[in-house]
Amino acid sequence: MTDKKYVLEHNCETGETVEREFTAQEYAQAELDAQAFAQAEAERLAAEEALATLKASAKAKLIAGEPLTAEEADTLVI
Amino acid sequence: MAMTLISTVSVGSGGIAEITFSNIPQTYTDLLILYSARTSYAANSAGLGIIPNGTEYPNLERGLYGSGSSVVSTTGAYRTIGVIPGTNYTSNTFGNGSIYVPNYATAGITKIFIGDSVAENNASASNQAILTVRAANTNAISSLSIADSTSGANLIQNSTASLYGILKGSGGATVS
Repeated sequence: MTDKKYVLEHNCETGETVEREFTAQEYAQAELDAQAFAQAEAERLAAEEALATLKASAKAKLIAGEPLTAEEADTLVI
Repeated sequence: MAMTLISTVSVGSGGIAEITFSNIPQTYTDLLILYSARTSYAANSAGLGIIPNGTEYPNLERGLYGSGSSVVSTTGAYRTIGVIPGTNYTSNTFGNGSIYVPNYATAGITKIFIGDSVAENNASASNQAILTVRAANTNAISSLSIADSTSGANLIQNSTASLYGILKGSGGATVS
């Protein structure tokens, strides 16, 4: 069974705060958002890892006096 | 310029998936949310989503993320406006962030949310983000929600969010 999700809603006009369960629409959107976030996070981490790999390779080649690929050069030149 | 505290919300025991400020006064020029939060998500950090007017989910995000050792840029059909620390980060440490919303009460113009945040880790590695999110329509904003964007996780107890109204003009007076 899926865990229930709740909203802490503060009414700026009355000053009241209530805790209520998500509506069906909010549950559906939350699921979409979780999937989208997971995908975005995976892409971000992959990009981070790829950049770290390229930079390490570029640095090693620079020290060894070897030619860099265009991708490796891009990590050093803005 | 004058900045006025409208409301502050603090999360109690058990945590909460979403914080909403509803019936926001339409008398200010811009809005600012300042938050301190942590998620129960089992990772270094998680995303904090922004939702105007209850169900008007934004659909475009552009961001610049740093980890302490690298920087990447992102774009996509997301609504992440900040990053908050997860359970992998130093315990009892909350991330801080701000969300600025210019011209929120003006209908007919595209609303842009501007966020900057740090998923504080009290260590050399911690995720930071500068993000902009575009609203899905041009409606005036009468409510704003921030939500943990991960599945099955909550903003934990002692997470807080404060909503401020900002008036343009000297001494807070509106310049006509």
